[in-house]
Amino acid sequence: MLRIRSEKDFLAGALYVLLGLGFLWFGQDYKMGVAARMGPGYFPLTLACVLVVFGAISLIRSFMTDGPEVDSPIAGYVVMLLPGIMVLVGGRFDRHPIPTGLGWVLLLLGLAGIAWSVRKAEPGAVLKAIRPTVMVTLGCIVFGLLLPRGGLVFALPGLVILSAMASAKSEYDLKGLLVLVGLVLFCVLAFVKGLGVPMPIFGSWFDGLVPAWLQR
Amino acid sequence: MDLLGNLWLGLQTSMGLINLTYCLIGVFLGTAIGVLPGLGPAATVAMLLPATFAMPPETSLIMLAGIYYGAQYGGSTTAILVNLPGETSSVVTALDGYQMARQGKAGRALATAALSSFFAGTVCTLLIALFAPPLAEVALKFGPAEYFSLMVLGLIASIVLAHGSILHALGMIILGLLLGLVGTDVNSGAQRYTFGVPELADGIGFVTVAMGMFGIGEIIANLEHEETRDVSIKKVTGLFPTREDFKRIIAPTLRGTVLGSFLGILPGGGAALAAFGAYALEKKVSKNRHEFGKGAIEGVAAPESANNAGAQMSFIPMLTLGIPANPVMALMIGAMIIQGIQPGPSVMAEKPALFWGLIVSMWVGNLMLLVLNLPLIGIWVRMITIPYRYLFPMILVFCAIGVFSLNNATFDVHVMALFGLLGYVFKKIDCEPAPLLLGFILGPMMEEFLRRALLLSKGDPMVLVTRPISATMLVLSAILLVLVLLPSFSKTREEAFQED
Repeated sequence: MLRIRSEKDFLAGALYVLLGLGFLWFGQDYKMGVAARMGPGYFPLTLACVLVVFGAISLIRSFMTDGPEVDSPIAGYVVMLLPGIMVLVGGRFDRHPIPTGLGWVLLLLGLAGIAWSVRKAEPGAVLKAIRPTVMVTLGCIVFGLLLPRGGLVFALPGLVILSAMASAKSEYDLKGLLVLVGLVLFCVLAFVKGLGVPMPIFGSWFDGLVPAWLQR
Repeated sequence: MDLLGNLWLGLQTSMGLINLTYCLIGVFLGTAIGVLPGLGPAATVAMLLPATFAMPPETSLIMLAGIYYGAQYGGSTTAILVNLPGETSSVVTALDGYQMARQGKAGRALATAALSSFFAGTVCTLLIALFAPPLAEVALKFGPAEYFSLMVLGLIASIVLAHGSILHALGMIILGLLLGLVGTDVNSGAQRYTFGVPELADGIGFVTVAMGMFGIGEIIANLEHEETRDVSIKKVTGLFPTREDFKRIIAPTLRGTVLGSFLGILPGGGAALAAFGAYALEKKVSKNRHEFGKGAIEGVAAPESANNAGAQMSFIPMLTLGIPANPVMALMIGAMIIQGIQPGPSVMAEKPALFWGLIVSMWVGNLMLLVLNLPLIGIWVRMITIPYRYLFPMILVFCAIGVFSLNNATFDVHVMALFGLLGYVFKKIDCEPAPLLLGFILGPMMEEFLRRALLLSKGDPMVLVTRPISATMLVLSAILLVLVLLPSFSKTREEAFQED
């Protein structure tokens, strides 16, 4: 029976093929030009084809030769969700609209695939395996979202607390709180006041509520 | 003599109060962050890069170079004291260095590492001063075809150093090249892969990518296998090597320096390969070879001198050709571009103070490392003992603020998060981030040189093989590719990387 003998080759191949196809699809309008006058599409589209070929070879190889297993489920989840996300993002393109419905279907298929792959696993174990990735990524995203709105005073604790939840060893005690307060103070003094990075200490939520020098 | 005049100019530049201060700050910060777990030199340089934007170009590059070898030295310190190499190039140092530390000879191991690094640094500073000018002269005659082929060679060479499958590394290069093309096409003004997002019009920031892949990705991977760092050595005593030690380290240091210089100058080569090579060589030729792995002082001296030599020599392709040999050099090139300097052979003629100042500052920086770090060892030991649960949120905070400050855009923070996730995934499936980052930096340059080469040849791709220098480099790339594909070579390559 045909089965995946090398998970790493399979996932890498799948990623390369998917991303390569993405670069081809989103670049289909770019003018190729001729070799003597390369258009904007010449180089990227050639490269994207090469990437798809490399990915395909890796995929084929994954069925032929044995390789080690991947010790984290995240890589598999990302590959499963990628087609849906790519089509949904591509839906924003007006030149070659892809039906958004297809994107959602692919995304649901990906989620179903994830559900299928964890059907036998212990929920706690899965949670433990994905926790660092999810919490660290989430922390950075929340920082980006909170910074203009709540300002540093909200964004920093958001990032620190969320990412601390990534570690099983984090302790939420008075010492941790003091370190957090110290860190916020340090960042305000060093980056905003010292180096002049234009980050709001208090963001747009506080418009008119705090003096301007606290908002800048 | 010209050389002396140039070195004098460099000395004047690097000894200026401001440059000296920032060199010191760079070396200090580099070491401090280098001893922290999970942050290699590339992540350290990426993290501190935004802090240098406001400085004059010389100062900024001098400080970045200081951070680089500071971080390398910091990596060796953790390798010796806690058996946790901060980066690949000090993996070998941990083998014998940690054994020495366990036998109560930590001080001597650290001093040996510092002394042999300093020796290699001195030799390499001279070598760079000797060889960079003629190389840059040759490079000035390069046309677009030569540049394109040279970049191909550099990218192929980076595969040799990558772990895991060659196919994966090739894919990472292509992916990197493609990601580098995101943004406005300089030639036609067309927007490529920007999805209508105005922040993407200038392309994805390479610092953002580097911080995501090396910084965030590493943190996630570290959190998965949280280990308690058990520092049994609370106090380091006996810092000075004995006369006997000196006798034993002279020859290995010399051999390590020579080997490191050779391997370092290759594009794609660098510190890690040099350290592995030097250790393997010593194991074959040393008369104390039975002690290797049990705390042989030669096993510290050889790889340490080799990795420092390799690290410094990797500046040669960067300074003379504008080609990065490793991710750190890619970051340096990025820093130059941000400072408005076009990296390449013309830098030496147009900015002699910058060029020679940087070279001499390498020596000054190495001297500072030697003088500073041995007395400061107590601080580094204390930094190693900071629990990771306190460290990593702070590292994240500095990464996030650093990336934000590049363009004052929260968009970049989100892109960093995305590349962190990608970096982690790629790490898990044995796809190395280094080739991707090299491709990312070289992507737009390669396209431009290929475009020009083909424009001049009226579309005939044969121009790449009919011009002798270009042909030589393509042949070299082909040989290299065949070599890494050979079963016997790939076996040694796997063995060399097995230790980490």
